[in-house]
Amino acid sequence: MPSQLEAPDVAKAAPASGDVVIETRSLTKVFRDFWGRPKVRALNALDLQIRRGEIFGLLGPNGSGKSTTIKLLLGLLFPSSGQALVFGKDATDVAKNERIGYLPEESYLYKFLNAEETLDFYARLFNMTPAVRKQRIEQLIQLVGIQHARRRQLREYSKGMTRRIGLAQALINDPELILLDEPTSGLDPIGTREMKDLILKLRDQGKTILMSSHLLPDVQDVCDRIAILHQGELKELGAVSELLTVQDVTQFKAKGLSPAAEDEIRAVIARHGGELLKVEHPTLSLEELFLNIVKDSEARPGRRAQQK
Amino acid sequence: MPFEHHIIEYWEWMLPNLSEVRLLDARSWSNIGFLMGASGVLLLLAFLFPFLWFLIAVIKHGPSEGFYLVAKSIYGGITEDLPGFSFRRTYAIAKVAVQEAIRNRVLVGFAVFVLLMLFAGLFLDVENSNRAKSYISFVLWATNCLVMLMAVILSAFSIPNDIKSKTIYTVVTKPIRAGEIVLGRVIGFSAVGSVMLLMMGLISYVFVVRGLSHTHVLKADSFATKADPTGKREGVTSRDAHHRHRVIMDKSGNITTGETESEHGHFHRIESEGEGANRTYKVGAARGDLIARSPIFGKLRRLDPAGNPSEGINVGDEWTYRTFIEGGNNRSAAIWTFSNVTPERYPEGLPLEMNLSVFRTFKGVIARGVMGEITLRNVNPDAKVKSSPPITFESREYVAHRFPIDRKLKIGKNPDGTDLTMDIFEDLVHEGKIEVSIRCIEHSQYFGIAQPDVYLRPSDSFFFVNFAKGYLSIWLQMVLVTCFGVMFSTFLSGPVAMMATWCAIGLGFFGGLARDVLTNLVTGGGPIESGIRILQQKNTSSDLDVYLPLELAIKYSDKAMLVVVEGLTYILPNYGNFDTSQFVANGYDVYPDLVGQQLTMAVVYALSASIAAYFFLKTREIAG
Repeated sequence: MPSQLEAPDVAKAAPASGDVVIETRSLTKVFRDFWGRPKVRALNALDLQIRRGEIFGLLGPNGSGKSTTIKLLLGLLFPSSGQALVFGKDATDVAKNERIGYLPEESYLYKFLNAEETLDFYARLFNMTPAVRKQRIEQLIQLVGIQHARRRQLREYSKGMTRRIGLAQALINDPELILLDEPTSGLDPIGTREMKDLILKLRDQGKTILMSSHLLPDVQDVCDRIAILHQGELKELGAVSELLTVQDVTQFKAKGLSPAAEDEIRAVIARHGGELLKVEHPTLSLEELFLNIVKDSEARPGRRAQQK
Repeated sequence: MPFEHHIIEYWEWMLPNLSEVRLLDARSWSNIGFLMGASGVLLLLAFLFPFLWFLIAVIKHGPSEGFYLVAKSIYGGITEDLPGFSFRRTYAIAKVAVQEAIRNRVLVGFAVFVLLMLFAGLFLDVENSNRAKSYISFVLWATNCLVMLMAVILSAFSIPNDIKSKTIYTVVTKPIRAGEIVLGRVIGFSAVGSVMLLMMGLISYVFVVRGLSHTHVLKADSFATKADPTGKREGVTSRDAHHRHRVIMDKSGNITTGETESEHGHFHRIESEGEGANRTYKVGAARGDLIARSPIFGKLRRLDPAGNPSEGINVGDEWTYRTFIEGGNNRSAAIWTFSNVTPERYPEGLPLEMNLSVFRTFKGVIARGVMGEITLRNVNPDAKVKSSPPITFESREYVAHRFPIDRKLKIGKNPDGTDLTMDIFEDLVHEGKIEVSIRCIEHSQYFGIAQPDVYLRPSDSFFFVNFAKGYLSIWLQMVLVTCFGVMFSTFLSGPVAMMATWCAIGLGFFGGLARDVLTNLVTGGGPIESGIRILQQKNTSSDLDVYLPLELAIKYSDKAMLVVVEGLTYILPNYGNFDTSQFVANGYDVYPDLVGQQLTMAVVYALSASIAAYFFLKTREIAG
């Protein structure tokens, strides 16, 4: 997704009160059966505050309440108790949707429309002039890279392409707050990388992003703060950097050391009473390896990538 | 009139006639008029629905929060969603609805229609003596069925499919209101239906006109060689389109009327050229089968044999539509009062047309009709001329009998030998009103009469306009069905919404029956009782003959069911009121008051259903 996302001249809504964009107050959702008997407690007394300009990750295994939280914030579900506030207003308030973009877990779009018609349809739901609408559609088609398939019906799209048009749809109004439900699911590593880059780029433009995922590396790479949910309960909340730092372990990374030098360093550690945990030559993560190979292959098409 | 209907004027239908309303007689309730009835029902629903909604909310959230929720939704609907309504967003939804309909192959319905038309010859009775009627009935019926079917399927499945495929998640998270989603769909599907209806209408029109178009051959040797005593000779045309016409030639060899005799509901003009055996005849196109009479109806009152006002006699096998007046030397008569009778409107005299039915208590002269007489009467009791001399006529059954009355009526001879005449407009019309009194003059024979049976027919409307009115009725039904389909689909799943919509249509049709069963007008009991009767092969007048407590249980549960059905019939539209096919098929103009009633009903029901749909969709948990 190479091109720059330019802010269109859609009327910007007034900034929300304070810096808190999303707030939940002991938000609880209990799904009931036909007779009103409680079936599942999908979310239990969730308290969250998401601030302007951060990328917030909801992390958890399947069925932990991530999607339920997002649906409650969008007004697709009504809370059993507690409150969900977006821009300081109740989540069921329609007016907030002017400033929100939402990418569902799977891109649920009209299969009988093509990419242009899809974006045109969603753009018409917002207050923008036809000229802006046209320009915006063009930008987004470029941004998500589906120029070649713009006139094909979505039923012919691959999973990755569906995801891209879904993202374009979520960004059609240049939203302040973007809710991404499993943004990288179904994407290949390149698509995943591009998605992550785009999320970071959106953050740099000052947008607030709430994303859910069960793919840990994705969350680790992009999120500023995360909440870990399990069985509807909030288990952990905080900045990624703090949560992942192991305070009593120090890691050095060096290049060009001889075995003798390594021995010397071991001695230094021993002298200071430290315990040497491990010394290793790092391997690439599979993701990095894959991306390197693809990059190499694109640079020299038709050749087997060089082993490093 | 060959089909039975009641003429109801618009304001008579709209405004209450409280003197006719009796609290305990459900069938008299229709007299409260549409305005009061609809307002009453809507007001009731406007209180009942929020109350039920509140009760449900109380169970879930407790009384104070429940009240807050309901009040907030209604208040928010009025203060935020209504002013925030956007045509742009509605248009966007409508456009997608159209695309959805087209890409989901709604045109299959159109293909079925074309196939039906192509193979209509296989099942249409081409030898029918009134082909125009059967053709028009058929095309209107086929169009109505297909369009309704399409409207139900499109509207009932659209929102549920969106919810099932979760596409609606991406829509409702945009700044769109529930009302726009509902209205956009109604508009979109109605637009698709309108285009289909238009195409079907054009094809139907061509089908009817082309299907009926034919001519005959008439040759000089088609006539009888021997003339009858008056010098007339009778001939027949060639047999085309399964019928022939009789033609009468006068002494000089001219065709008496310039026309063939009427057959199968139409006639042909004939032009002749040449003389004697070389004479050739050109038979023109069929006329008189595709017409739209626009009758001017009068008010009817009946007199019993003693001359007192009465309701007429029920001869037994007829229902109350037609009642009968006794013939013979008595004062029994049916009197129609026509208004706005002016020489400007009827320069030739009174263009009377009749559709009387006849009930014979003995065979009489079977080869001819029962004799009757018409008297024109002055409504002013102090007038110099009270009535015209009686004009006798021979009744004809099952056809519209044209019986024009000349402006000048001969009433005798002047002393100088010239005819003494009276002028209808000068001598009999008082303040634009005139009475037409019809009597049966044969003893112990009866004429059956209803208000629409005798009317003035000064001029006809255009057939294609009337045909279009028939399609307008179908269009209104389609829009209504779409509204109800969309409404049900906001809270039911697709198949259930479809069933509910069908039931709503069915209840409209059968609600009258439920009312009649409840008031014991129709015997045989409700659904359970009549089911048992069918199984036991018992007629409706015998006792049910089951254990008494059981019988009571059956009767009361039947009654409860029927009361529910009856209650629903006051809420749901009666699609029977939208059926104008009989008018078009029988060649009667769909009178403007009826069109007005249909439009009013359609607007009220469509709006109510859309508003209900808005609240259902707004308050439902989309992802639940």
